[in-house]
Amino acid sequence: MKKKALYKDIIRTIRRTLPRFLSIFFIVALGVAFYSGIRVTEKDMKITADRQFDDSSFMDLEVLGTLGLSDQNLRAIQDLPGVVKAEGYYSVDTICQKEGEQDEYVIKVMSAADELNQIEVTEGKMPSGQKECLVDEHFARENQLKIGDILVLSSGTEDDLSDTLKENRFKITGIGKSSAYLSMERGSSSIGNGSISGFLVVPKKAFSLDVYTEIYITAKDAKKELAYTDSYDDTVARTRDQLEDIQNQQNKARLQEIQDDANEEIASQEETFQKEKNQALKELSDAKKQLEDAKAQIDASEKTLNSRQKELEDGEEEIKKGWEEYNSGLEQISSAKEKIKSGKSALEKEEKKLTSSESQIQQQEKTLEESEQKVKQEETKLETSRQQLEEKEKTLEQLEEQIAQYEQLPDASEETLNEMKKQLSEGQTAAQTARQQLEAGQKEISSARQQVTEGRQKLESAKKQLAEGKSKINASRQQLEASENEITKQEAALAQARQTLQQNETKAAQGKKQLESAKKQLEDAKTEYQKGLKEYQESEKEAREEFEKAEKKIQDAKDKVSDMEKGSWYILNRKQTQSYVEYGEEAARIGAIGKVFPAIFFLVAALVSLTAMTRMVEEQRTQIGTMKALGYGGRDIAAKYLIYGMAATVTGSAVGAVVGEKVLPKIIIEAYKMMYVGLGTVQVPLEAQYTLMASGIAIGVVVLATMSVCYKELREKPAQLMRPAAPKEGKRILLERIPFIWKRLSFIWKATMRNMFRYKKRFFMMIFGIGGSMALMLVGFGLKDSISAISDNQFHRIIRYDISVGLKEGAGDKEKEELIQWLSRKDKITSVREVRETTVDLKAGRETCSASFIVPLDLKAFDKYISLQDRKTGEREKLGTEGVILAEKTASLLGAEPGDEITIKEGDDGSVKVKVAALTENYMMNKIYMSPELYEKLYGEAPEATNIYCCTENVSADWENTAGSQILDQDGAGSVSFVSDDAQTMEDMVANLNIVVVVLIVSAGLLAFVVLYNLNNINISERRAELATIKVLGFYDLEVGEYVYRENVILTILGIIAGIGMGILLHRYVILTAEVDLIMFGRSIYMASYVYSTLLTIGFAVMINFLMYFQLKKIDMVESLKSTE
Amino acid sequence: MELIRLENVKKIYQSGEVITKAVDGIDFTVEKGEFALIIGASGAGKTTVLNILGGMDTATSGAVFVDGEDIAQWNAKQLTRYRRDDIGFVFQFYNLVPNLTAVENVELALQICKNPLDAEEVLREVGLGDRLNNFPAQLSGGEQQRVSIARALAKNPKLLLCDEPTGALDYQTGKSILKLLQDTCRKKGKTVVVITHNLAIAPMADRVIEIKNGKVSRITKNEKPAPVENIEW
Repeated sequence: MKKKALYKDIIRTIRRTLPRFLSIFFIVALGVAFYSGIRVTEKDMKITADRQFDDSSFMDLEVLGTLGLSDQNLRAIQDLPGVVKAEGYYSVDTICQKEGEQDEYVIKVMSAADELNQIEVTEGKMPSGQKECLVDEHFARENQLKIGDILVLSSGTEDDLSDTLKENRFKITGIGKSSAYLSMERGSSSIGNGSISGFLVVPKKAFSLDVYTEIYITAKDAKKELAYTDSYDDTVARTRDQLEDIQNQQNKARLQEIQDDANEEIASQEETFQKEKNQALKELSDAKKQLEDAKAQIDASEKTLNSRQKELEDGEEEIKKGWEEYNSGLEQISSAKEKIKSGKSALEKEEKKLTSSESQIQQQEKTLEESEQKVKQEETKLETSRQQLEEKEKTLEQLEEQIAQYEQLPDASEETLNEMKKQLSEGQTAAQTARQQLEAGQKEISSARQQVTEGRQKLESAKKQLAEGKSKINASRQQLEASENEITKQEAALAQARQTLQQNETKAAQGKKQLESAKKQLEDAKTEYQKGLKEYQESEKEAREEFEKAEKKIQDAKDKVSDMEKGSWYILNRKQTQSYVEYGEEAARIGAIGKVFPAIFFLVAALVSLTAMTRMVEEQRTQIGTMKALGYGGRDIAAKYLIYGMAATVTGSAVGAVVGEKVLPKIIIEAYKMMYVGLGTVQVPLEAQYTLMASGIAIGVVVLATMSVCYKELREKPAQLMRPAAPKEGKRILLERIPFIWKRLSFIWKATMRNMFRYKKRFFMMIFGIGGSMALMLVGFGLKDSISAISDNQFHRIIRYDISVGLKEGAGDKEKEELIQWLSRKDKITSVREVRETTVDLKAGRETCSASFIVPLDLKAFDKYISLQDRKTGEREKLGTEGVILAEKTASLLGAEPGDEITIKEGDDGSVKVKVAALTENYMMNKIYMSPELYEKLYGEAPEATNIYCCTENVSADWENTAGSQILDQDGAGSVSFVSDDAQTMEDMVANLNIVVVVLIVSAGLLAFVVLYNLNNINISERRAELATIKVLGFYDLEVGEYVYRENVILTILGIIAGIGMGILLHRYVILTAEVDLIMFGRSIYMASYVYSTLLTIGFAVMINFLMYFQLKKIDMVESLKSTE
Repeated sequence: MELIRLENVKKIYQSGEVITKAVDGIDFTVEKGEFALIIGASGAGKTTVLNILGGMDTATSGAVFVDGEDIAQWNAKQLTRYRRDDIGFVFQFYNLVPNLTAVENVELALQICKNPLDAEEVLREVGLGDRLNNFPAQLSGGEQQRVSIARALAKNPKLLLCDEPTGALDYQTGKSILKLLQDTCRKKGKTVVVITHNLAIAPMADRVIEIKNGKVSRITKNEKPAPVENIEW
């Protein structure tokens, strides 16, 4: 146990000076943790990705064939020595809609691979049926898709989706991630809005393609290599070379396959054609025969018709003769009838005469009888008159008697008697007249009797004459009746003939009618025949032409096949995967930050521990002298301090390295995972390289410092060492030579100044330490500023429209106009503008990048929608015909400046060259703006709108939600996006990055704290005697403190100023290295950040000084003054 | 007139189970204007007594009257004021602030005094009129001790306490420093207490307090103290 006392001494020293030991330990731990932690993050990022790639058997290479890839190609690739595994698969870009919803997305549909490019299923299971799919986790989250939802696909091109996929409706069975998509970016496509929103994985059998579109390849030995490293790239490149070697031959083979297939196809087509041709020819000849038959039939029936026509005409002739005969018969009869009639009328005349004579006779007879009657009546009358007369005479006689009687009567009145006598006289006169009239009457009757008798005789002779005439008439009447009978007979015969004739006539008419229709039928048949004939001729001609065409087509196809050129392969490695590259760039950026940022940190820490060790050795000067005097060798003495320093540094490094490499990368990568959602579990293995590097530097610095101090001390003689070190000489400082200032300083300030500048090492350490921490904090805050500047500027100052409505693919002018009308009328939308917005590739020199190509259809007040302005001067820029306006970052990616020429290439169309007129402030995505006039000049047509930008009033999220779906209900609207959503996304991303910033700020704060603590500690212990002295002199504790603080305050202020300078430079460096291609960070640090970091630094200083106060108070005057040790 | 009176002053250190009695019941008095020597071997407790007397340390028990006040009852702040206003210290290793010139070192003390003397004048009085602007490193040991004494005097204290002021100096220089102290006492009427292990200089003091094992072994009062020049050792 040699030198046991020495080791005991070391252990006791550590125990006694534990604060110092711990402060070295912590500062080393902090430095190493931060240095190795940040440095290792780059590698850990790569390891995390590499593990992800290995676990999912992510392909190293991918072959795309322009002519597709056959099984034969696949086998050839599999047979290559540099290929471990190769697997073919299918993929196609499609338009996807969630069933029942309007929104359309471009989706890459991939077939599930058996072994390579495995999908990490986070929910549900891999699809197994032809109608099942697994959906991209990111896409699912963005669009609230869940298992069981149905997605409807369409091709998005003129081709039918069924050319590639068997189904167009897929049910989600799982949700997962692919190593091909680490970030949220999904690449671009030639369909839809041009940007792919996500991927779908379907079973291979869901595809209807017969050749693979791509082949995944695992390169030999590549799995062992870490992704993103040169050795990985080299390993993969070897396999790639092998692929290149077989490419030509394989493409030839593929061509041959295609040609064989095509020729086979052509041959079978030709066969089919010949068959069809023969068939057609047969059909034609059949048709011809049919036509000929028809013609013969027509001729035969025409002949029959003609003979029947003749017969009919003969019959008609006969009928005509019959009618003539009939008519002459009819004439004869009528003349005979005429004769009879005249005979009859003569007879009738005679008869009439007779009749009239007869009626005369009867008249006369009647007259006679009347006359006789009259006579008789007269006689009767005369009789009656005589009777009446007699009666009257009788009456008169009675009256005479009565008179006579009455005259006898005594009393008879004269008067009555007169009366009676008068009556008798009148009666007697009347009776006498009547007697006279009666006698005249009798005479008249006798003469009338005589006249009647004479009339009778005359009448008898007339009667005799009449009878004679009557017999004569009767004889002639008999004669007439006989001839009349004869005529009647003849008439009946004629009527019979007439009936017969009429019957014949009807028959003839019927025959004629039949004949007519037969004739018409014949005519129709003839027309039909003509038509048929024409048709036949036409179709024959047509068929001939068709045959010729088909033959030509076959020939063309044959020519085409034989002219077919061989395809080519696109051999892609992981670097052609966008997110792979982006992630690699992120890692490189962290690496870049890791080279500067922690280096400063580490430097400060190393210097502080160096100072602490130096101080320790110097303090123990006397002890060193004693040891030396006792005869210990320099090595042993130095060993004590080396061991002390090593103990603190090694343990500090170990703890620092473990904590740093485990915690920092974890925090940072987890933060990155918010953007690189495809990343798997974060891998944070301990990396010997960085541990050793950091510990090595830390240990090296401390050991060297200790050794150099020890060497310096050990050179001195023991006696000198035993005596107190000659106090450092007081010196006049520069400031004293400027009496103008010096004289104005109070005594105490003079002392402070001298103190400050006396310990130059401490002075610079202090400034560097405080400044470094301040700079780190400033960079932390500044990073946050730069990142939040993106959304602050981009979405509030530059992009000033609020909604972008994408027109539906293939929407017509009418729909567009209606949509614009609708939007203009919609509440809260203040104005709308049509814009053409597409994705293009830009090229300048050898640099390329893709960018949004924006052409407003109307330039008027376009800055209401997008503000084009110079970042530095804030000057507005105008789109004109002299050139395009490029986004600042885009220009720097292209290395283009105003006045340079760049090439714009849109899709597969040709490219145009255009001059850059100006650069505009822009923070997100690459952008190129062009005026519609220039567009028309370059492309020869006016730009067509693809989007409509809308400005709104201040609107709520609810309004946007309802407005969004209302807009999509319009016929012309294909998509709708709100700027506020983008801003939100960006703000979320900024929030994620805050973690990194917080790490920086906290570390920097810790550093500031430790540095200040250490330096103050050194300061105090170095000046222990001095401070004790002034205490003895009667300085109050506060005054003692002030004596020290005054220096600290000045140093802190100087440190802050230095820190601001360093911070600005460091921030600029970090910003430029950490920027991704699509984003431009803000370039400046906000005032608030200066204030915050300054306040934090001051805060730490105050805190440290507060702690120092107690330490100062604790200084024991007695002990301190006892010796100078 | 009595300026200092110590009554049964004890200072006991206890670390763990070990009890060290540095001062074990000391009683003595010093008259105003006296030049007092506290003499004892190393470890006798003389420095502890001086520290207690100077307000740099506190007694475990007992009373320390200075100008009628029992400073043993005072708190740290009162002691600081006491040091500031009433005490001038001279150390064995001078304890000058190396970063300040001679005059500045004096001024450092004057910053806090109620009625200080002029720094340059005091320095001239101690014989450093031509070294005013020298830094301590540029001065010899004796000169540094003179600066130290000047710093103590300039405060114009009631009591000048000197802890082995000649301990680090050669014989001749030591003698001249002692002379300076003696002159200060005689000419300015300051009460001076000097600690020394050198019995030979006892004759120059008005009062000699010998301490042994934390106790006063003997107090001698010199009616006719000899000037330093006449003492050889």
